Amino acid sequence: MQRRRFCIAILAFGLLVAVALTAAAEEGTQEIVIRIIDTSATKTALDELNQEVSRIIDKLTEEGLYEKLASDLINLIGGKHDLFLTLPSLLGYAMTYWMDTLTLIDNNVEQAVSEMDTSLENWQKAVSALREAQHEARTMKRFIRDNGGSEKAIETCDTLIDLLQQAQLQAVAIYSDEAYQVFGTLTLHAAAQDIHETKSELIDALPDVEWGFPPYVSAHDLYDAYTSMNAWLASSLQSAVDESVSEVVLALLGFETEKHDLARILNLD
Amino acid sequence: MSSIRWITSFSILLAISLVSALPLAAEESSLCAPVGAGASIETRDLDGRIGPEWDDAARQPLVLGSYTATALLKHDGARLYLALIIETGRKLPGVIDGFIVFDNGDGRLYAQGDDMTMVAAREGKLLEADFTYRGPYDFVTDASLSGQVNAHGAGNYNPDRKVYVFEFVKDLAPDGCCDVDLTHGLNVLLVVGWSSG
Repeated sequence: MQRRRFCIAILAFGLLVAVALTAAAEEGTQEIVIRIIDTSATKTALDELNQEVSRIIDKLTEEGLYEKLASDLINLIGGKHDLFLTLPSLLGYAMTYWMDTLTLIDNNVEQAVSEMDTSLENWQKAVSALREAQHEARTMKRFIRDNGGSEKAIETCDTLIDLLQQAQLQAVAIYSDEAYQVFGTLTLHAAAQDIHETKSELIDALPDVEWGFPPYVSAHDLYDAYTSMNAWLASSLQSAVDESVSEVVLALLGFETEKHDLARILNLD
Repeated sequence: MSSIRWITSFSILLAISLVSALPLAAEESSLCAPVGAGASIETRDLDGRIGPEWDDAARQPLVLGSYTATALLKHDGARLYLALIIETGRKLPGVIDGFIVFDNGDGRLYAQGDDMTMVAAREGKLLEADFTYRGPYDFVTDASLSGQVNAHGAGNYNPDRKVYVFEFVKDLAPDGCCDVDLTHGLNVLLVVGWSSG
């Protein structure tokens, strides 16, 4: 009887210990990789730009200063143009690099097709253009892989690289095999279309490669803002300088809007 | 004979309980969380309550153990601000700690020399939170290692929303003794979490 009591006491104690241990071990964790992004540099640059634009608008209200102001304006554009070029890198990534690379790949493929359309004797030029495009695609794949790109983006790069390889082989085959020439050129056109479509898929996959952007900034938003800003700088403002003072004022006001749109997207306002 | 059966049953029960009490070594994948700039928060304003001072922070959804949670992240160029909102749905028994362990650069979390920021949820009381990790259940304040106290925090249970809230502030620049360099452009591996005990 005494032994039974002893066993029951031990059992009760053991259960208490077990319950206590279970409760004591409760916890929850999550690993995170953080990176501090120095958006303050961008904000400072935009603030400086704002001050300069305000100064010029003030001056424009004075008479007889148009020519000098136009010159100031051009200097302002030239001086601050770098800001918009470096905005993406300030946030960690050069979105422009991707787009420029994709454009280069596209151009090279078009060039290759054009060379073959012109003369089959140009096959070496076509292969060379395709090879350069393939090299760019490989570089881009490394860039995406090293910067947190999704599996889909990497796989799409692989597809693009393969298609460019096939296109090179087709260019050689078209030249060297007369029997193949009948359909070969059409096949190359189809290959170019495949490459173009794959490039579009890659652009769709690019937003996955957003490591480095604040979560509220999508790569496409940033690129759109950047493109819009540059397009505006290239056409609207510079042509307005050659027109009238009032148009310059309007252009500057438009510039303000673009700048604030960009600042809003970057969450700097 | 009956006693032997009892003891055997008890042993099995105890073994099961002990095994279930061990933390699961589940494989965790790291989230990537860029930290953008925001307005400064005064250390004295840390109270374990989320106010408008966090409106400009990036929000990162998390799962911490069996609870969903949200991390709020921002910096002001000099200090990192991190808040944890843990949706426990009830007040947990015992003292609940919120913590961040910063990898010291060797790629291994919970390694000797890791930088640790930790506070207990004590009704929003502002506490010094700067520790150096030396091993399981073994961490000391940076101050005791001739370092500076450059991390503070406050934790609180919000009975209305049924969440635990921890607010942390930590200098980005290291103090030369025990802290991880968090200056801009660097990737820093860390683990955020809570524990009771």
